[in-house]
Amino acid sequence: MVEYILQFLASAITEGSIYVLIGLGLVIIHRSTEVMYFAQGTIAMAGGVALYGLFTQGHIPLVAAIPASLLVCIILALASQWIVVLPLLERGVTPLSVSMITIGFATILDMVAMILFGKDPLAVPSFSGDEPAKIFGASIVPQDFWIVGLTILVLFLTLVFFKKTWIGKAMTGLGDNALLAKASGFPVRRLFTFSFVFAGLVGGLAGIVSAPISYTGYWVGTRLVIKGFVAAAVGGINNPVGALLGGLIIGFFESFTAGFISSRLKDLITILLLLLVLRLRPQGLMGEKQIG
Amino acid sequence: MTSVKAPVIASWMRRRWQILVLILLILCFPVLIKSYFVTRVGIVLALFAINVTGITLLTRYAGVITLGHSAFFALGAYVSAILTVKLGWNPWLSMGVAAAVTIAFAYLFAVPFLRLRRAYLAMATLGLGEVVFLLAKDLTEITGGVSGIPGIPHLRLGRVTLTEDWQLFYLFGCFVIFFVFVTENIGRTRLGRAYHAIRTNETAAKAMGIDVQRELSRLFCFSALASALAGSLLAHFITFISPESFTIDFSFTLLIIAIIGGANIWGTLATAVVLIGFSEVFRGLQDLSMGFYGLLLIVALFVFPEGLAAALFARGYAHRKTSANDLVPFILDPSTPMNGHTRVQCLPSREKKILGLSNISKNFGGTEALSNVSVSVDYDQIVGIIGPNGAGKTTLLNVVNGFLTPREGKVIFQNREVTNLSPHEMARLGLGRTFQLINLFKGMTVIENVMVGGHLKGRSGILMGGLNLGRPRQEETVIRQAAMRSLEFLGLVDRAYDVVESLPFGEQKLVELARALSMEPALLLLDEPAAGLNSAETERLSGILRRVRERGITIVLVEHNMPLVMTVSDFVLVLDFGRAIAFGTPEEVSTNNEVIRAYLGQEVQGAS
Repeated sequence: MVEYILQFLASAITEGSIYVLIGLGLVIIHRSTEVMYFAQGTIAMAGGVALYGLFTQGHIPLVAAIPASLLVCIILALASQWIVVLPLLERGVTPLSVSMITIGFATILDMVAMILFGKDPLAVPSFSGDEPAKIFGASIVPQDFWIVGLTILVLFLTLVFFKKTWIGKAMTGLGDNALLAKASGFPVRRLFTFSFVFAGLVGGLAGIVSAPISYTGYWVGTRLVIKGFVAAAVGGINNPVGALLGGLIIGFFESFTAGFISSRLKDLITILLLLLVLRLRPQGLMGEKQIG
Repeated sequence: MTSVKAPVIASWMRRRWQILVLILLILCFPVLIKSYFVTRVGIVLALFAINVTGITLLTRYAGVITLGHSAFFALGAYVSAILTVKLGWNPWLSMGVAAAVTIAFAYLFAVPFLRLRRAYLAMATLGLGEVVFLLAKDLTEITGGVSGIPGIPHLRLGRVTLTEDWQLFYLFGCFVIFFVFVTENIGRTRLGRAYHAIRTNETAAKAMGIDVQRELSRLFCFSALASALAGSLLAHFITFISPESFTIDFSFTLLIIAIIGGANIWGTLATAVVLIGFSEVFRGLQDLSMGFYGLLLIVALFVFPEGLAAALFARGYAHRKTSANDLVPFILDPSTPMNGHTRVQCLPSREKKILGLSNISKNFGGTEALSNVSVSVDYDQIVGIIGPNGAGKTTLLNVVNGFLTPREGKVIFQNREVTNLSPHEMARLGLGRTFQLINLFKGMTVIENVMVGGHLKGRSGILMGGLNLGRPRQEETVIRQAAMRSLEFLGLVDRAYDVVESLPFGEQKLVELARALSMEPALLLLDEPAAGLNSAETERLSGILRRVRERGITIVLVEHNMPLVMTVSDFVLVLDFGRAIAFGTPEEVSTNNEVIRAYLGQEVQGAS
């Protein structure tokens, strides 16, 4: 029994880490632009298929393929900002409408990925072999360590960034008030650019590290972004710590539902959790109540 | 008789030619096109058209983003399929039951979730679509899981089983025409304006008496009904359903069509034809269609941000250019009171007090915005509220209006305790309001803005309004006339058909006043009506206020412009740091020591 629980816990943390990464990108973009960035899952997908292209097909070593894939993601995220988000926001289109337009951007990227890599599931080998490690009876594949390790690294760097750099501090201070940011002479464009670079980075990382544990392909974006939104909404759409909490909670719910009840129900439980949180605490578990 | 009717019909044709064209197109389509394939495309298109009618109203008029209408489409299809296949019900009956079940489901979703801010609501609808999709996929015992439900019976009309494509096309065409007709009627009239008002300025919409929750949840149910019927039709058309027809991509597609189309059913229909037509014609590439939609969406937003309709026609919103009928001058009899809530009706004649506030206290966090304020206002008075910035003047208006609930104290309006009523209920009782910052409904013309003020003159709901028979039309005339009267009263008639943002600031303020007058209130709350006006405009305003009062409307105004307040007011209330420091005639107040201290003390400090 104990080893089962450990096993579920391990997969909860692994799965949860991926949702944390996606959710984190969504939170950062929402904080700075109030846009719900529906392309975030597709950015992650792009990381996965780029890695497939470079590593599996192109036989480029991982140390080069991973940064190159991350770069692809960052460029795509920036492209979405320059082509879609910024011009529309500057024309006075509401953030909610712009959010919907990012769906359009995502579907275009999905289509490009499908044309380039086809419809079949794409397999990326693990970063360091498939020999599971036995820990207290639970067997954990090495890729899980990569996922959790890199997530912790990113979280740590994010924390440092918010605490130590001026732009991070400014983001914390100004929070979700872009108008105030503008009024106080803050370089809003730079803030936007930074958020999208960040989202590209964490989204890409999520897609890259998760590619070896499940197949990747043009269709994974929608699934990932829905999970990411659930994580962000459960935790609080404006709170990075909320994304961490939300991602892990969802990881736990999914893993334990699949383990103890049925793997058929795990997605359903996640979505019901989202609706429950929205009903009882719309601002999310860690979110601050907004007046008005 | 005919001489009267002919122009009426001609004007109807001019206004509603699109629907005639639509009917003609639907009638001719199967006759002209004998291709099996194209007829199928037509049928699919019809299903999208039905779906998108409700979404257009919901998203483009009322501003509610939905990512979950696949849920209602699926419910309609599955309930209908299960009842016919597993229980052997009559298809029409199961279709009706499916529609009823879906509406009930939509209502249960709408009541808690429509309260959320729009972004959260969008996420909730995303969850809704996913829940239904997952249930369809995973409740294998009931839904057949991934393999779906085969063998759904065709619909029958009398003895004829509708299996031929052209028969189905006509049937679906009838549904399309019905929903388009209803949607267009709603869009053009009172409810359409209310939705537009809710989207562009929810606060002002509430103050005009629009019950936002109720209107949105009904609209949500209407759109769910359209989707459910389309779902049932789909089930009985292809006789087989499986979860893959009801993915989030379907909801995305509907949303994309609505966004590209704009706030006009013809725009969305045209968009649907282009998008769905494309993806059906290039069926081999169908997996590319989402990408194609996405591309079109982005391009469209840059080329015509207000939607395709706005680019094709004059403007997306129900827009009627000045027709001779509208500008028939309304002969005003100065003796008729503009206020419809005649006090004789609802009150004993001895009653003099219209508004009474007793011991009102309100705090925001730690700061006390109002403490223990009591005041009473009699009928036909003009009462001014003055005080330094932050004295709690606007807060007091918001308490009366129902935007805020006081921590302590009571508000009595027309002999009724109203402390805990919401703004739209206050509007219903005869309370009008203008705002400090201009709170107009952007994108609508001046007359449409003012007509929102007449919202409560109509009672017809989404169904009667949609069918536009009898009562809604009369209501529309009454509302339009009342709006015209208010515009004439304020000298704005020649601006009636201008888009409201195009007016200069001073006139926009007057439009706000016209909108409030169009509510025919018993009591009018004005929040700094003179702010930003030049001296000539202020002069004009003071004349207007007196004339409003002569028409039997009591006025409470918050104002910084001292000459204005002191000349028009019968009584003045002075607030300072949330306390009422004086109440009396302008003369009394201006000689009151405490008032002088509050004002001069501040000024002396400011000067030094």
